Amino acid sequence: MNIALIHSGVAGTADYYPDDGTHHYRIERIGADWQPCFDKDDVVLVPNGANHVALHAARASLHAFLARGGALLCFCGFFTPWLPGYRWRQDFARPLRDLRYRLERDDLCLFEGVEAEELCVDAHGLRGGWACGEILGADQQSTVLRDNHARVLMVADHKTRCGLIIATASGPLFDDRPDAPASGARRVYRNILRACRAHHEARHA
Amino acid sequence: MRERPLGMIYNGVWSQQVVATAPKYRDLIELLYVHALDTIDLGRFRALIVPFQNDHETLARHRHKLYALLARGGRIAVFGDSAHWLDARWVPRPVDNHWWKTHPTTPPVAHTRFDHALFAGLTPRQAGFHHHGVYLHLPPRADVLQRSQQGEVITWQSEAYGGVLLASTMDPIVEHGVQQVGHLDALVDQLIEWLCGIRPTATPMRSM
Repeated sequence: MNIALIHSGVAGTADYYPDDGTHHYRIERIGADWQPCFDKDDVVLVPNGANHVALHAARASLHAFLARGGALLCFCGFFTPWLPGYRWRQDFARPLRDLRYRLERDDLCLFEGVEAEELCVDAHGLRGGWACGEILGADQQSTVLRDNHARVLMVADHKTRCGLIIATASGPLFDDRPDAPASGARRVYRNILRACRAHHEARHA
Repeated sequence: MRERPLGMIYNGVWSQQVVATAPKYRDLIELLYVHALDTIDLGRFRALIVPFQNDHETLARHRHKLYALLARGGRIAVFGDSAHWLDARWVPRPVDNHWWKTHPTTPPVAHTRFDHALFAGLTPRQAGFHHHGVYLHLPPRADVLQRSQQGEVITWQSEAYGGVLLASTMDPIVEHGVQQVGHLDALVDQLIEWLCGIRPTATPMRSM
């Protein structure tokens, strides 16, 4: 599966997404007057720390990619309106220590083998630092993850349009050790890639 | 609109935008899109901030404009990692942003020059938090302002270029935008005052 990794020039971005034999990452480097072409890609991945000014300027290419059935993944706060149907809003109003996550709906089995709270609490027991805002525009069909303040933290939308959108409310997802066993956020990322493969195969069936 | 004294090199990252457009800072900081630097006159700024998560490859192509600002006496503060266009050598180190929970008595930044205007009056907790690597090689006439527990260089400044060039592998800007280090108003306020001579309002960014 060919994945276009949006690279904003932030050092170390590609280290989080090594090829694993099944998934080949193509670096799509943002520059001045960036006009990307995703014709040969199955997935477009927007990682944490992305340039959303450039993504907004290139939104026509991204929308065309979705229109032909591609899978668009965004794991960064999309504060410019380039992701069709959804907006992201930064929100720090709630104390992190009080946050709880709950799975809402998971048609694509993105949380198979993972408890929602595994994303909420990190390896050092710190709570609530995964997402820095909420996704607006989600409905019951597309909402995957919420917190205890009813804020939407992850959406998966495969019914609104030809393509697939999976986005988090800025929560990072990656797999920098594809040969190692995975749990928590890394397992969710692998499940997302599996969902993208299924989407790709269904589209080509 | 009134001209703002500080430019912030902006890579389209949300946390950079949050800080520069916060009511507390927006009259002092102008966002300078990194891919538009060709068309931006840096001569109208007293100082520049280069926050973490930047595009240093693009920035390196404009280093002559940055050093020109220094040559006329301006100040530049560079934060985070891999600013390879500096006459310095940055190397990575493991990031420990859980120290305050796991080892609260041994912060990653262990030694700070509190006689420097950037840190004067701050508590050790306000002045030092997790960092993104260290500097091994420094430019001419560099003064070390902060060191890690291991004695490696976290923050330095040099006046060899005319004005003052300060670099730190900590980043008070992106961390302030992300709001996961909860006490950064003090350091960012001090940074802005050190860069342009104007102190922001004392109100915390979070509550505005």
